[in-house]
Amino acid sequence: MVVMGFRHYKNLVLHKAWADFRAEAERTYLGVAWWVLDPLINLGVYYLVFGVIFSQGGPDFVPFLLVGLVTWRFFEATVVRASNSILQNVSMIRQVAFPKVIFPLISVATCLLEYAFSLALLFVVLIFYGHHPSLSWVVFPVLVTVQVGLVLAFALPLAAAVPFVPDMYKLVTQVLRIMFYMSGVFFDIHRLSPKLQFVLGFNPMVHVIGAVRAVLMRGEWPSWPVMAAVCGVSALAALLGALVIRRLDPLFAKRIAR
Amino acid sequence: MSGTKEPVIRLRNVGVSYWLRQSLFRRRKFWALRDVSFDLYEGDSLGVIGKNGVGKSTLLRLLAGVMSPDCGTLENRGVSTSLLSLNLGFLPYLSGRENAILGGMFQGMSREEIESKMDAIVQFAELDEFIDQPVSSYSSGMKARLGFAVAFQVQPDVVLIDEVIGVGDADFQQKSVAVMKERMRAHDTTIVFVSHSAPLIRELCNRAVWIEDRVVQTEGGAETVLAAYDRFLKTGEKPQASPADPA
Repeated sequence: MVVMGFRHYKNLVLHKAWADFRAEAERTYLGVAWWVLDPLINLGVYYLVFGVIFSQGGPDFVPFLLVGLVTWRFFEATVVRASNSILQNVSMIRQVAFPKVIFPLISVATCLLEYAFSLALLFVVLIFYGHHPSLSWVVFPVLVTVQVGLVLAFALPLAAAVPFVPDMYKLVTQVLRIMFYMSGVFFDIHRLSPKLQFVLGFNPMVHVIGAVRAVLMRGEWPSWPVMAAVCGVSALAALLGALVIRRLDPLFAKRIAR
Repeated sequence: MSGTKEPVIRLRNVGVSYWLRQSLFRRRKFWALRDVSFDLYEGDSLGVIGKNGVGKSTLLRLLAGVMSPDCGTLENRGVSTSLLSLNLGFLPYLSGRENAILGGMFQGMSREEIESKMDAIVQFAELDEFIDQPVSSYSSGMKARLGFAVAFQVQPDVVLIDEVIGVGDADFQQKSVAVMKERMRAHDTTIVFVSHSAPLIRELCNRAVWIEDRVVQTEGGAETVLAAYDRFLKTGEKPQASPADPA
């Protein structure tokens, strides 16, 4: 009667992610429209500050900025949501035994659904600004895979740590803010000094955002060695996170949020 | 029934501790259960009695496999156990039907299996057309009924029940007790039922364990254990430390 196995957990993750996504849409009057409005408003704010007030950018600034914002928002939203996911479900964890790794995975899947709406907006804006689909667009799904890997690299270890050290969650939001300003979302990293570029290069989002711009805006291939490096390090960190979650499995139910 | 078979779950001197945080660098170990030993046999309905806060819920979590003992041993001879849980993460903005599917999946049922039992769930929970309304519009009684109806469809080898039958209105309570009894007779289901209500345990269980001060005081036939518990409540007198006595 009780079926447990990889297939069951896969179905559970997908079904729950879909349910969470729809529950969130049901919560507001505008529903799914918010997944388009959110990045649009975001774009407006940053365009006003950096494009108009600081007169940055140039003619291509809107698509340039939107690629950065949409790519960044997926990363940030997913890491924040997944970090809290195990702690948030502690009451369910106290009732049923299942692998806790499904909670951050559900967060990632839910955020991917929301990301799809932002991407739809992004493609419309790109085409509107004359960046028509080119051959290089075919590797975009590969870049999304890299992004998911990078998200997991942060999300899994954090999801394991936050139930035991809730302060980490506060720290995450601060660290993400610093990373955001150093990701080249609203400035071109290549205009900085080589030394500074090298230092900022330790932020993986610099390379991801750079690669998405190369592929979608300039019709270029991404730097494969850099993408492979991001992937490799991400896979290691994600695997480590998954192992820690499995190791700590019987302890999560004991973690009393007080 | 018991005695002739090997126990399906065997606990020996099991203890569970939590860490309580007192300040930034100080924490204190707190034993929710200290010395618990008993055997659970197939077809048993075992009542666990004791006052509030003696570790009964921890014991169920242990049996459900969501926690592991910090000392002693817990042997499970390959039986599936599941806590009869009433509100497994309901999403208030989704319909009762969708929440039933989610709750069932979290308890290990496949989606198809829940859908095939949906009519029974709706009927048992007395929800009728409300099943397609968002759960946020439900009364607490309706939520509890839906929770029980879903959980009742999960059919593990051992059902673990934590006072949940005491929810909802009196009619629904009676109905829940009635279906549990019927299931126990018809399917020979093994249950562990935790309660501080002696009458409910007397009604549902053939064997009982009394936990007091995080330690098993007596174990055995329900009548014997409940009599000792009653005597304790009236006189404060505990039984002599008795060795575990498999019924």
